[in-house]
Amino acid sequence: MDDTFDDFVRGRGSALFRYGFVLTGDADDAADLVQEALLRLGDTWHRVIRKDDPEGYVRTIMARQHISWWRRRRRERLMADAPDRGYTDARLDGDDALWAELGTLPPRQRAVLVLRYYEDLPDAEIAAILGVSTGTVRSQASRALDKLRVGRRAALMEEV
Amino acid sequence: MRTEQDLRAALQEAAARAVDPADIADAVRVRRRKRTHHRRQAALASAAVVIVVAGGSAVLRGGGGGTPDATTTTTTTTTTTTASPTSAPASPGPDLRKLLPARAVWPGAVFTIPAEAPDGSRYSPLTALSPTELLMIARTKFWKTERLDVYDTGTGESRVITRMPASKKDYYQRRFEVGADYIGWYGTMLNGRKGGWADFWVAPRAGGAAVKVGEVTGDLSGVSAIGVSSDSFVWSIRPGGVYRMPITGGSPEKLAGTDGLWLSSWPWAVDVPPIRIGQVQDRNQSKLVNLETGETRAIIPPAGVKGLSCSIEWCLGRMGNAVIVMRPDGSGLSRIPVPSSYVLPVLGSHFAQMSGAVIYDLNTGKKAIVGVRPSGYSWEATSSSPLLSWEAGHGKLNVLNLLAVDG
Repeated sequence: MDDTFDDFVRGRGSALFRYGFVLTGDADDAADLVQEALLRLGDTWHRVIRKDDPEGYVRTIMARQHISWWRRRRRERLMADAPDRGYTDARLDGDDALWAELGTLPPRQRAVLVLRYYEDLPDAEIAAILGVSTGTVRSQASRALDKLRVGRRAALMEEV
Repeated sequence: MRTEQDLRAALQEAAARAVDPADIADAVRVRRRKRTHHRRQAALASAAVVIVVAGGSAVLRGGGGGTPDATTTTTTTTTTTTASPTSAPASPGPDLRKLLPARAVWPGAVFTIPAEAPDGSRYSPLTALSPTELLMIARTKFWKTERLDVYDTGTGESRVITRMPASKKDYYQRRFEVGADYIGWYGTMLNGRKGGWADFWVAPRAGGAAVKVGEVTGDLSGVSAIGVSSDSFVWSIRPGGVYRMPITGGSPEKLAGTDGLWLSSWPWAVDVPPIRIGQVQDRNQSKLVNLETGETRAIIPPAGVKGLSCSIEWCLGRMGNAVIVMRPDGSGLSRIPVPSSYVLPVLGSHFAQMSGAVIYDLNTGKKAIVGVRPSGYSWEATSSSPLLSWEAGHGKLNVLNLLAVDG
């Protein structure tokens, strides 16, 4: 009945997985996140495609789901093992310090940075995706950038 | 102080490094089917809510998400880090602030093109055929591959090369490759027939109907790379070994002496298996073999190098925390101070992509930044595709055609 849904999953699964990976920092979490979001998309496929942006819908679900899962998983993990470990980077290469430090950010701050610097979205759109105000997006981004010691300068590549 | 561009690069590099689980589409289908089944059962038992909720939470893997999990399909992400406590500290990466955008460095090679074909289908750039011709995949709104077009960046016009033949529901085209006379591709079924199955197709590079070359099953269908010669469809299989099938049809035939070889870019084969993007390869390539002439070029890896991988012009490898480049004959050895524990294959004939967004011209030493936006990524690209593309917004794509870089 929904060939178009299968086409979409086949065509976009890989890109969505990568988005999930930068959101979560973990391949297993990313695979879970993508699958769950695609299942939800499948349930509402016919409604979503009328609006013509299934990909935006999935990416929104993934960003929100990431934040809420993180809360839940952290609880589980805190209960499971006492010596607390970071959420991410258990299996990352040691070389990339900036990537590893992203793993120390709270999930909402991380999601804001991913949406802003990986997805290249304007703050207003990020606010809509996460269901928060633009001011919150700015303050979360600013806090996250400070933590990562990223300076804000005039954008280097407005137009490449 | 780090810059926002460093952050962009870190995110893009991580995305490139993520091992792509091949089975997302399968997994979603299976789970959808199960859910539908559960729901029917549940409705019968008047307990729909409880069961659906249980099904929904099953995706959380027992709270152990931070630990390597042997049951997943995606555990290959990492592997070794070469750095030891005594080795040199990570070199600072290239100072991205000092790099110019590709459009400024190679003004004749960056083009802004429409993201849609004239008929409204979506365009994904596949590779470049010449300094002005781009091979594009045209897809439906929902990403089904419909045809191959050539877009001419000189004239702004596109023409149809070939249309994808009608196929069964679960069929999809896995990979395309451009030969001197033909464009070839292979396809498989989404769910994988028991024992494996693939079919091979070619279409004239100048344009024309797609011709089916043949089908294979079993080990022969585990394709690692394809190529098209003047008269044959050529492919290597995952355990190694290169095969051919005449374009006019016939039986698969193994090319003599290709045990332990994998096709790199026809007619060249190499003695290391292709890595999946994101996987770390430690083995060094030790030869390049020309399957047409039988010529073998030995490659001697410098001491301390890992993951050396060579095309006929250049090799890339890792040494400590840096990337090294050299000619296959060992000359021109130099070090690129990029902290990286993985190396992507050489792009085009003489380019390297590092830190996500930095493109190096290994011949001239020039480097530039591309704005790679992830949704523009195309992972089914051909071997050593001389084309990079990223979204430009407003229904446009930017492309860097490395064939149009003239020094």
